[in-house]
Amino acid sequence: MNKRMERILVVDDDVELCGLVEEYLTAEGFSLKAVHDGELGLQQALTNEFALVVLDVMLPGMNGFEVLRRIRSVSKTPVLLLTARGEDVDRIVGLEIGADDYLPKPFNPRELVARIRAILRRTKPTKAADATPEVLKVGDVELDPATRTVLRAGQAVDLTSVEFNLLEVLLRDAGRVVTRERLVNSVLSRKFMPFDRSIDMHVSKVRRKLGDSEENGDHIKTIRGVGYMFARPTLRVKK
Amino acid sequence: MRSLFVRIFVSFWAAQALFIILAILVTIALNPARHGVESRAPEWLAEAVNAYQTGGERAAHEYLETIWHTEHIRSFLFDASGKELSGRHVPPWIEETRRGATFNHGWLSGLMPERIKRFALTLDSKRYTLIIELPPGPRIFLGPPHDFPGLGIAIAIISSGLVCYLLARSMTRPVTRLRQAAQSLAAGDLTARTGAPAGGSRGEMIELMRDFDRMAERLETLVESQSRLLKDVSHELRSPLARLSVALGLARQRAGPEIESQLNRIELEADRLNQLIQRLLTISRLESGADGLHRRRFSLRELVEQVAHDAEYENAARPCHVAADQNDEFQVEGDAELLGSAIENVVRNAIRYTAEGTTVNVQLERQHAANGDVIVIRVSDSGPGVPEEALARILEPFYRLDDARNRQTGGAGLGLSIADRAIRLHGGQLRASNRKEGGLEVEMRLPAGPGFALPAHS
Repeated sequence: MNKRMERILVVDDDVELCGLVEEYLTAEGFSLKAVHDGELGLQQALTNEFALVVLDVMLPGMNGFEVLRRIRSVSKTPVLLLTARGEDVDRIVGLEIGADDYLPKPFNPRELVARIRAILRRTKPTKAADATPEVLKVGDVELDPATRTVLRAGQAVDLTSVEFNLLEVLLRDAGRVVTRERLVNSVLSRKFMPFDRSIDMHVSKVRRKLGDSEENGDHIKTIRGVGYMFARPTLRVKK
Repeated sequence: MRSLFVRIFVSFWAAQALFIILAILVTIALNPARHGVESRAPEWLAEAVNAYQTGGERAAHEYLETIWHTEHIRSFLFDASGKELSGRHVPPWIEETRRGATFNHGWLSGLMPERIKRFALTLDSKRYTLIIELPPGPRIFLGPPHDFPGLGIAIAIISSGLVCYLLARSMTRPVTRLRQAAQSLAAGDLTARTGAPAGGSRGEMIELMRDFDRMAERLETLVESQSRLLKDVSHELRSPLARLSVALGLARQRAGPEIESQLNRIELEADRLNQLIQRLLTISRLESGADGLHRRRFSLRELVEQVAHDAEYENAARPCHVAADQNDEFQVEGDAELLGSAIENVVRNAIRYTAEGTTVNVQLERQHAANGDVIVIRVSDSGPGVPEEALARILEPFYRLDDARNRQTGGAGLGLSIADRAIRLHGGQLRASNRKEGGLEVEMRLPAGPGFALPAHS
């Protein structure tokens, strides 16, 4: 089986660290390119030859967030942010701008690989082996797992891969509450930590992109203390 | 306790009003116009009567008008029956004077000499009366001249009141602005300024405001630079650790089982270093107050349950049991991350020291008090406890009971310090005591409502 090696772009100004990461990831079956400043990183990311970008937030010159913003303005390439441990601001801002996930430094390289794999797994369209995945339709929202597109009242909605996965999970269980824990496990592929608000960030982004439903409310309802639910439209009783 | 504004306002106003009133009264008293009238009035009366007798009403009218034009004295001529002979309209107070009323001003009589005078003349057995009205001093009486100049004084009081109000306000406004800026600064807004104009007017108040602004700016710079230093230090410390972690990962990739335990040891030490740095930075940040707290309302019960769950997950041999009223969310307002760390530190400590096979108990309780509810978190273990003398000291940074034991169980002695400071930052208290049954009990008390701090008591 000839597995095409996934190309990963690493943008970090720590040259030595990049060298070590390259060695590690190559041994894990990835093909890597490392650049050490924001401008170059942006350039490379926009060539679209990479399956994923690992981006350090603390870059000199054009800072990581700016690079992320510019990437997001034209591309849906998944981005994993490397943040400083304990700086919640980094996480929140990063997710706001559109990062798919984050990993604080210093990190265990095994964790890095796990998260990269999780993101890539979600990005790939579902294989034909699965029975023709049917289009999910609830209210005015339509989600097609095969083409990974979302329509709202006929209009296309632009979602990142993580946002897409999140919406898919909620839609499959529309009308029922999905716990935050389950969302973090299945969408972000990691263990649910007590103070982790990244899933809430992703939910609010999806909400914003979907806009209000026909019934003048959010499509996604917050169930406090438990999780989120995609609301089914209420049946209209004809008088 | 009267405010500055009130004191300035009242004293200036009283002074001004008093001055005006005295001026009015003195002017009345010293009105020179009064002199000489007494002697000439009989003459006027005679001539008025003469005019009347020769020319009738019109002549009398003309004559009295002349007196008005030259002396500004109003006059009225009456005959014995009370009829006004010059055809003028007689105001009521004149009529009353004619009838014989006098106007008594009581204790003010000395200050208010009669302004209305009567003179009588009998000619050809007909009695004539001349009543003259002297002009007022300052023309501010605006009312019947015999009256107490109430309206005038009222106006004096109101106008001086207005002037003094504006004056007091302009003097106390800088003080108010200074106070507002100082309060904002103390509350954590380092950009608070009084907004004193840079150039232009000098004056002690403006200078004070400028001095304050300069001081605030210096403070802001200092705190910002310290904050930046902290950030740089943390970055510098993390870089080698990050490289170390990946290198370790590489070593594991290639290593055989024979050196696995050594690699584990390296990983452990690297983790400890990381944790230590993390805690040091947290404590520095808390001490310097450079970090703003991210306040929001959240359920403390949820937080405590999550922390206990995680701690238990990592230490299966030492279960952690949370006892809390499930109907009570124990809502608090504060920094969830910080409080979570604090509680986590305490719980991990308990787990670390409790005897094998025993349970760590975490109890959540709400206590009602006069000025708001207090939420109490009690973490108890069945470990060896802490010697009484050391109880107060365990909250100090780096203080450890027993060096040898601690190196085994890990920990640098910072956990409780962080917990203590974090709780205090939220207006709460942390207290450790030994349990009767053996073991340590750490009690954390937090105000349930936002803002207020628990009263300090031992």
